[in-house]
Amino acid sequence: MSSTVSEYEFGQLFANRFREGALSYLGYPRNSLKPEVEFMRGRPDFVCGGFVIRKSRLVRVGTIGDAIGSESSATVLSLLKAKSGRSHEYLQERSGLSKSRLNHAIDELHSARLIKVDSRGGHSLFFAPRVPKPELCVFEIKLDKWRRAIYQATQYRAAAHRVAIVMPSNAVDRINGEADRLRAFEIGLISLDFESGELKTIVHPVKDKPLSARHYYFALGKYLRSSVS
Amino acid sequence: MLLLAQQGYGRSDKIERGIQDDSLSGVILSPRDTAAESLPAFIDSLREEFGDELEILFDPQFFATVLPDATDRHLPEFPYYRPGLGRSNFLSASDVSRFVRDTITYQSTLDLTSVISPTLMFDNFSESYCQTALQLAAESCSVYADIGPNQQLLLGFVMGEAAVGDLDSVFEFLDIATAWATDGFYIVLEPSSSRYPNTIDSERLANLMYIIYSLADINEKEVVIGYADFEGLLLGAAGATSMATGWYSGLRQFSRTRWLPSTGGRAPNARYSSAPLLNSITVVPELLAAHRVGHAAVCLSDTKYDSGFHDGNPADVPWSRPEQCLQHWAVLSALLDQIESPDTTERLELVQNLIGDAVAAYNDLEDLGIVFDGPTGPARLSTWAQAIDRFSELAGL
Repeated sequence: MSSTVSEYEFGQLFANRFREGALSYLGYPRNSLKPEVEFMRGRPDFVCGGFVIRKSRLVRVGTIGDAIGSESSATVLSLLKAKSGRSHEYLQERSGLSKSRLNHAIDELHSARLIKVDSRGGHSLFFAPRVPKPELCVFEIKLDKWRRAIYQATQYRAAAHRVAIVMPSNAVDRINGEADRLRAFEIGLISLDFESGELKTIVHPVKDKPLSARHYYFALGKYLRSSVS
Repeated sequence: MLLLAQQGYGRSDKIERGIQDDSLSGVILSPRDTAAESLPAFIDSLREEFGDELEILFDPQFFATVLPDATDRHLPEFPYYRPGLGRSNFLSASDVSRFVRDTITYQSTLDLTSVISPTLMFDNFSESYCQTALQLAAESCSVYADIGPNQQLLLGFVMGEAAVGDLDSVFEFLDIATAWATDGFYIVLEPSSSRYPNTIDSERLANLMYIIYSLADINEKEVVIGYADFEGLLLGAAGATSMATGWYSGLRQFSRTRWLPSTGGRAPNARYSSAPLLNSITVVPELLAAHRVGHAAVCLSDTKYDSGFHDGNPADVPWSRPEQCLQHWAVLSALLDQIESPDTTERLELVQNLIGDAVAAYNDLEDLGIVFDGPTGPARLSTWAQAIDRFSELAGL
């Protein structure tokens, strides 16, 4: 790889290769890759979603994105169930939110028809419990600084189902010795050859539930918003 | 060593709760963040609730006057403060005397434990603002003797980390400072980097420890350290009487950038103050990573605010900013209790033991594959250990 390649150029090459289907085995739509989506902690280089947004649903998706893409709303949503209602008191105690923030978050979620109120005033999720939650996958681009890459990837696992570090093929040798550490934290490692554009999976990015529901909802909200704007 | 709250914006009831928890022994009030008309009532309410034993200090923050476009909020409401002064305003001895008299007179009307003299910030002992700061301190001793308020006098100094880098200048400063008729000093050191948590260079930290040791241990002056954090343990071991720390990073380490216009930004990363690691680590990803490998307990501090972290996923534990602050105070207060001893050498040994334990805890976590961000990693522990060695050498301990 040319030593003058910037991280931005390397990232663009990765994005092009992804959109050409070079990582299609992971099962994400080619047009689902979005750059720099804000997470509750950090901003990954690329995020893709395991779902297709139909044109007819763009407005609805944008509304949902706005409603859950705040820390308060994401926190409230993460505490709710589909069947049993949660009281205001329960939500305030478990969320640590002030009364006004909690009320605002509940209003937002109600307006977006994501939650409902039962006859006893308890709040519950509007959507069915068995509907699988939309999947998020993160790609963190690094030319070197593999410790920083691992740190950030660990951070993004809080919100994403799958996380992978993408590095130039010649830099991967330096991080390859860390394969056990990557596997322990469910972080994938993908090499990209800048000359040939070849993508090679060194450590498979396994799919698992995001480690934090509230981090996930926040990231999903931001991802949905960026997908429709 | 006592722990005080360094007040900032958004006081709510954190100070009262910190005192009720027995974490805090007092507060350093911030005129920038309190309306002038409500300040006396707040002091009275603290006195009424917690009595005369409570340390209540007031940082006049006079230094802000020379910062261009300083975001001084409520500060101009206070009668002693004059915004927008420059070098030329400190040339006349009568003007300097008036600034001092106004600042001390204002504080003498409040029910404070001590008054703090006005000062200006400086980055090295040879710059002109340092000369002005020394002038303000000397004048404060005269004015204080003249006014004779009931409170003690603490001479305020706010200096950049580089100022304590030159040992000859430090000795010179101590020659001057130890001759002043004062009850003590209020010292604020601005780290070179505003990144939190900071790492002050070991040599400079050792020199600061030496300043504290000379003033407090040898000359028996009260030494209050403002805007401090875990490194306050070392300063306490050197002899500091109290340290103050606040509820967000800008109140745990001084930075003049906090006084400059800002465009805002996102909410800071939620942090967990870990007594075993002597650091405020991030909840996501650091504490979360420790939880995933089943070793969160290595990081936990065992305060009453920690219960959620013992059995839950750290990323989903409700961890509000007031709770983070109260837990931070509880952790620091417990650590300060652990190094309590009348003997400097023994205090230093106790801190060295804490550092040794923290290094071992970090090693365990890193062996399990956990990656720490630079400032929250173990690097500064070795800086601290070097600073203690260097200070011991300087002080002949």
